[in-house]
Amino acid sequence: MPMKRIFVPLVLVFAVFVAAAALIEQRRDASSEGASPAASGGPLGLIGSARPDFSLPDLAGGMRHAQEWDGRVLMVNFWASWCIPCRREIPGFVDLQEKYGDAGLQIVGIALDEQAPVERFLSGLGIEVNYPQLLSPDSAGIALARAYGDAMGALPYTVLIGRDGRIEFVQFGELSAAQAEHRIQPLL
Amino acid sequence: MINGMSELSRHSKPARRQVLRLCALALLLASGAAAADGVGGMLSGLGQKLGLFEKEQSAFLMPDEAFVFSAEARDADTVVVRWRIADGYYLYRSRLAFNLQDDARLSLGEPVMPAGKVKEDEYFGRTEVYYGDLAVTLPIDRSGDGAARRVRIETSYQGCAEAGLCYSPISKSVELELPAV
Repeated sequence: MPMKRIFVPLVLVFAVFVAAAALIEQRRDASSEGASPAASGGPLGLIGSARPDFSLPDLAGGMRHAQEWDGRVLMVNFWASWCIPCRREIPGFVDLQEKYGDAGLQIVGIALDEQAPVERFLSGLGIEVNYPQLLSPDSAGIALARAYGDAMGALPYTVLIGRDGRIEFVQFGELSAAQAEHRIQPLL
Repeated sequence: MINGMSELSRHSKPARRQVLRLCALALLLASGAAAADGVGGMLSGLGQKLGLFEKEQSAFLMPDEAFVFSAEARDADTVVVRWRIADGYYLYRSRLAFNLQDDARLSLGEPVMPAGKVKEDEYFGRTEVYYGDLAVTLPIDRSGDGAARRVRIETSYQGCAEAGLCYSPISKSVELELPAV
């Protein structure tokens, strides 16, 4: 009867394995924050890691470097003029910059776009955007968004970085001002 | 036949035991998975209460799943490019572009695009978009060369999810066999 002796422990081991696999799957699903499963491997792995560097021109032509905002809570928002949901986010971000700028929040927009459509787009907003807009057209912009975890090159894409320069939160797609505020407040 | 039946009955006792074992195994596995589900559900429920794994919105598809692309040569001088657009996603009509690659003897005619659905946006105004299945017909001028040949068609397109995400412009390059005219 050695079959019988092996059978019970074997089934138990298998059941534990299935339970563990189901649990891991469940937890991974629960923390995916709007990322598709195929894309979530990238950004979720980035949480807690140091933010990638960038040096990009602003709309006035001056070079801006990520280091100039070291020590502040940095929210990097990737967008483009052809992106409707990106347009919907910006007024709420202007309010957040106004409300929390003195407390240490710095929002930076990175447009994966050319200067002319970006300027047209921003002037069409009818409000003054009170945070820097940097330009990163062509493949360099997509590569930078990818380095920040946007594996699909989809927009808008927003990354929140703590005062220590570590990535705290990423969001695929539209981020409401209320959602952003909820994430920003504990970091200030 | 009878022989067969008796064969079966001779082994019926061990066979029944085997079936019982398999049933027990299936039951154990199912209960294990159900328990894991329950615990996982409790954990994620608790996590959501604590704001640990808060779901900001539903998952988005990868671009090639949202816009399933294909192309075929319908006849000697027509190529059909198709998209199967997932529910909740759309393509912009104005951002469809087609190009016939490296071919001096053939030229691409005006693409025949169906009418899209007009989408009103409070900031962007009226834009024409496609939902569901889309087919665009590309006429090819074969007057320069009527022989069977391979052509390379480059297509670019751009679309978004209604839930608030836009994909970067996507380019696809396909090689097709055009039959002789």
